[in-house]
Amino acid sequence: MELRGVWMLLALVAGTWATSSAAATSNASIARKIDASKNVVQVRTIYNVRGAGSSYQFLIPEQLHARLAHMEVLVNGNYAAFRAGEQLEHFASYDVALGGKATAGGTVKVETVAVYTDVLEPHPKEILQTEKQYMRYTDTAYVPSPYPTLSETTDVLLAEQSPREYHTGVTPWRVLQKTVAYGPYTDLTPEDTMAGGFSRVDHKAQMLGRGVSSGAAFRRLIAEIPGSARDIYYRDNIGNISTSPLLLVLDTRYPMYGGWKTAWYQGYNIPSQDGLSVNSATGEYTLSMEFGVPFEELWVEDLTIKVILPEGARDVRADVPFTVETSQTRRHTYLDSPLLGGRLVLIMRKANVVAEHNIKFKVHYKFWRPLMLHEPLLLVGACLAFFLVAILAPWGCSN
Amino acid sequence: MAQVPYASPVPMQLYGSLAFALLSIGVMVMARFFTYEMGASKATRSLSVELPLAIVSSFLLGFGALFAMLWAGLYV
Repeated sequence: MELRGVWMLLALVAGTWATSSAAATSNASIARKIDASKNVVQVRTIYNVRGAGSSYQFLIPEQLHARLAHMEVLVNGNYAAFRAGEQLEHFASYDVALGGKATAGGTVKVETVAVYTDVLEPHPKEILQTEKQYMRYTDTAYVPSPYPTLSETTDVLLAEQSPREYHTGVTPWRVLQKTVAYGPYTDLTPEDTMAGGFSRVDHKAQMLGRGVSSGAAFRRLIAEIPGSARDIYYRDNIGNISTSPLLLVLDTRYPMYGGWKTAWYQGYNIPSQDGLSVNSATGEYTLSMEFGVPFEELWVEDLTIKVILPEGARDVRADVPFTVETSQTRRHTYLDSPLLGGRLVLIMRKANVVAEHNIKFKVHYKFWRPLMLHEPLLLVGACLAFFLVAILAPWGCSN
Repeated sequence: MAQVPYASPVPMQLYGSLAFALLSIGVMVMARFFTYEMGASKATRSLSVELPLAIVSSFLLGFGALFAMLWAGLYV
């Protein structure tokens, strides 16, 4: 799905937030870039911190924090660990350790990248079929920070060139092609909690009509799948739908308007050597696959991944670089026998999956290789039983 | 300590021909077993002939069936 436009509302809520601590620390400058051009919103904020202590606190507005799918923090360009700090009114806070990393100019560059799902709301909520759909994005006009800020700018990247409508109580702002730039705003102190009062920046963007479908709908999805994929299928409740190999282009049966749903099944096989490896010393097997869905344009509200391991797999552990909810079950199919208890199924669930989660996860397990012969030997046993019956049958008969 | 890509003990390309070969030889051995069973009376048949035929045929048919299933895409 491609968002056709962004209607933006920038509500100015307590732009800078007051906490009395860390009076010595200040933000020399803050540059915020909001990428609202897709269906997930990425907010990249660069704080140039002066007089930094051992840690730095940054804030996220509460209503955005509830939709946070992914976040990373860089200190002077290197990934840094961060943890949730005290809960403030209207804001969630995070602390990142700086460890005295001031540069020559006496400032530390703290960069946060946050990805939010479901924060763009359609505006208006209902439109006619021929109308274009606009979206609304709401954020604070000032970057929230517990420290005084000398200067800050906000750039908002939209899906469409000419925004349709804005409301703004903060000046200056200007429009550069697809970007709306706010700022620079200077000399903001944490006490300025209601600076500008409740002014709003309202903002509508023209959207891009594309292809055969009308503007507010889409009917094409592209899945990227591994080059070695075989036996690709794509099927919905009505039946099979033709596919092309490697780049799966899915045309839905009807155009997808807001609130409409479609459902389908798709799948493919890849050779095991592309995903499975063995440690030559320990004999431990490692499955390495991509988390997430193959659709670049979609984010997932609720993703379940099931990994079915061979019957007899032991010491199973999953290695996922972010938190997922895991559980296990057993599955009996084909030649699985009660002897070995069926195949172990590892179930992983995660809500709010975005492109940043589309990285490899690993499942490690141990498997005694001769156990592979278990299935053919079951078949051999069945045949042998049949022959033995044939051998013994005459003795069971009367003549 | 190195991670090496997993290699199937039998290459996937061979599944089809293996299934065909094993099943056809297996069926032939099975046919020989049954002609022997039919041709000999209860008094003249001998386990030393019956058992080797049964075992060889079972192995051929069992593995043949396995490869036929794998070839068809059943991950047994």
